[in-house]
Amino acid sequence: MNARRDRLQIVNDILISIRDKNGKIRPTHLLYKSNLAHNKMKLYVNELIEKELIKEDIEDGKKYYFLTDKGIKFVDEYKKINQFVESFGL
Amino acid sequence: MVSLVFSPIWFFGFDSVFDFISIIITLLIGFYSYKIYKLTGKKSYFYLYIVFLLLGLGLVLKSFANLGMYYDLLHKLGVIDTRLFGYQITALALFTYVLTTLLGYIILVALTLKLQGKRIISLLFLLVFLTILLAKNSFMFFHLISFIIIMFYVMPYFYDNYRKVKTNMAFLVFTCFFLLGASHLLFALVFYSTQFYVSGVILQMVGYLMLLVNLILVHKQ
Repeated sequence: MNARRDRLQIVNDILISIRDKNGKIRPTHLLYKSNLAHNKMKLYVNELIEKELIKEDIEDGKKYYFLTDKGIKFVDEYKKINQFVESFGL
Repeated sequence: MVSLVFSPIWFFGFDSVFDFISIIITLLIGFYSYKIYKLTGKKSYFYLYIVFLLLGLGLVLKSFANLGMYYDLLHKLGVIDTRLFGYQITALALFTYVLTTLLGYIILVALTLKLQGKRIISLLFLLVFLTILLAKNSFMFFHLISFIIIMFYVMPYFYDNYRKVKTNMAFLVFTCFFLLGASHLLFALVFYSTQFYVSGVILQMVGYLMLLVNLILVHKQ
């Protein structure tokens, strides 16, 4: 992942990490995948839960983060925006 | 300051339709840029929103002026009894069209050349605007300067971006500005033949259609 990611890129990377793991991911995997420090990742995760882009739940006694429908829509929208931004290059 | 541009009589009305299509596209691109700004916080897209809003507003004013000229012609031919509005209003609409379009292009230059500082940008705008204002043939000068701004300062940026990212969408953006620049050259030549006006309006609309295709492609994928 790019070392100089902006806030939105980090959010998108987190959501994509969850999506690529069939919509659910363990916190330790997310920490590794998002390439963030633990405290920073916690801040992002809390914000994403608050915005209902992801949700935290227990499955088979283990904690997981799940991608919500709103999160899926955000990833799609972000992809479109990125393509538009890339076409203008501004 | 303003010299009125006459399109061929058979083209009256068609130019308004073409301009209307261009207006819709500029507003669509403008609002999508604003959406990007709201989501990402990228200031350059807020300015791009302003650019397209100004270009759209310019086209609205140009259509308004065209409507005035169309009715004026019908009045002269005795088809209708009254004019839609006076010459002054038509001239004012054209003057404001020049003003908003130039402002849009100057902001676009500032964006593509990464110019910093509002004072430099406002100075640039004032110099360009005063040059046009004081020129003998203001309207021709406006289109020539717009042609230079687009072709030599804006379009190369989008060409470089296309070469960098090599996507169809970036090619469409580059083509749009190439066609817009070319349309201004044709508008500048309108005093030699009204056919240049017809080609200019069509080229301008095709240019904006490129941006519409870009927007459709973005949403299709």
